[in-house]
Amino acid sequence: MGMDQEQFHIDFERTGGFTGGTIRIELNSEELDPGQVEALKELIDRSGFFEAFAMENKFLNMPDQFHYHITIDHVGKKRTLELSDGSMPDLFRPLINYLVRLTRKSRRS
Amino acid sequence: MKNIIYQINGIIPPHMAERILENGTPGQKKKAEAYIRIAGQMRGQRQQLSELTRKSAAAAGERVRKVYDAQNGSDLPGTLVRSEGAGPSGDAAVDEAYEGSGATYDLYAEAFGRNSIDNQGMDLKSTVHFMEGYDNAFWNGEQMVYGDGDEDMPEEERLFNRFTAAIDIIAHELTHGITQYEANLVYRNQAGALNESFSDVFGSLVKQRVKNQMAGDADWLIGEGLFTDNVNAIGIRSMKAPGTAYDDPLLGKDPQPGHMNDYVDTIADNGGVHINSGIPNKAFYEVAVELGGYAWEKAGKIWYHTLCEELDQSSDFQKAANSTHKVAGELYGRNSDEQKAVYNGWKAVGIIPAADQRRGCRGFVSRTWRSIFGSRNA
Repeated sequence: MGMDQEQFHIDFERTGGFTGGTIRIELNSEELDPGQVEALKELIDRSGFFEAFAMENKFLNMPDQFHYHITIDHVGKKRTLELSDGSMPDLFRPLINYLVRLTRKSRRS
Repeated sequence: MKNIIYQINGIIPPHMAERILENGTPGQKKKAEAYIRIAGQMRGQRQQLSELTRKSAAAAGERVRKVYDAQNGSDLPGTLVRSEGAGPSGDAAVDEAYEGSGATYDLYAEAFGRNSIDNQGMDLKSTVHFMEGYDNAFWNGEQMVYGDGDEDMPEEERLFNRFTAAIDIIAHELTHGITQYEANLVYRNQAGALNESFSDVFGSLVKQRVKNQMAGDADWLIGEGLFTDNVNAIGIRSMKAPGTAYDDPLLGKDPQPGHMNDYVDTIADNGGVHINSGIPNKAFYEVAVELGGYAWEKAGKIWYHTLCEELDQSSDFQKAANSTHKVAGELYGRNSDEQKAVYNGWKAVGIIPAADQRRGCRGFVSRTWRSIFGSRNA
């Protein structure tokens, strides 16, 4: 059964980096404000998250990089991507940056 | 001739040949130079041994620093904003990257005779202002990259300052480059934790050298000043007391262990490379403090030669302990105070260095040495 057009679920985790810390967030569209929902839908669409070819992460041996683990469940489609700073197409960066900002805000609230 | 070269390549470490270059007779020096040149050729691209033959080149070598500005984008390297010899730019991040990479080059050149990251005079490239709100620094295989912290957050919520603010972070990243050209330790599990630890060790040594600090006077903190005042922290990591660098309601407690009894088995962070590095970090601290003086002169030298000549991609903590112990014996003599300090340092973190594998072969080595180089007094 497909999800409502307005509904999505996101699991996001960032690991590694110089500090080696982990941040993560779980987002349900029904718990976000309308502005955030619209922003995320647009960023997911613009990144081509569901259309992008599977990318082999060849950069795991790159010291101190951030690694990103993202699962998005939207309109009945579900996909998980593993990205890192060295392998990430520029199209994904706005989405990643937005998710990092939401994660930071949620940690402080 | 080939057999002889093979034989000496397997027995005589380059730092021993270095001592002959410094102290031997003219005839011994000539033979040592020939050995080093041939041995270096045999080891191919990594060229660990070429440090010795390039000592004069390194001394005459020049730093070539280039600092770029990503202007908050992600294109690397970005726009060149300061080159070698140019005056301060007025941009703190640019000038810190420039000065920090220079101090790092100087430690490696002046203390260990190394000519830049690849020992071939490679340009030191740094990019600052990478993206917005990028709270990280990394080595991408070719250059160093620094973010400005979480400057995109309101000031009262910021956790990180810019990543060039701490000179040991700059030296840490540059050392990842050196490790890549030497042991090339795989960035996972214990090999990855050693990779991290070597970066912390030499990061701290660059900081101590700039501050003209003896081992006993240093704070042994990594990333001091990186956290903002909003965080309850004294640094990112403590080599002296792993696990005590921060304890904050938002970030939690520093998870680093300082003893094998507390080793953390995890799949996160590439198998805990930034966590378990606390164990070899602490071992180095113990060695350096027991030896006293400037930490780069003896402890740093032992660690540097171990990284360049003894370790490989899959080395683990035990291999690092055995190798530093062996190198200390070769550099300073069996049962020397230096070798004892290395033993004690690893023992303090729960790792006993294996006995010198060359025990009993001393006579053979001496005989081989004399057959090649002759008597030291000849």
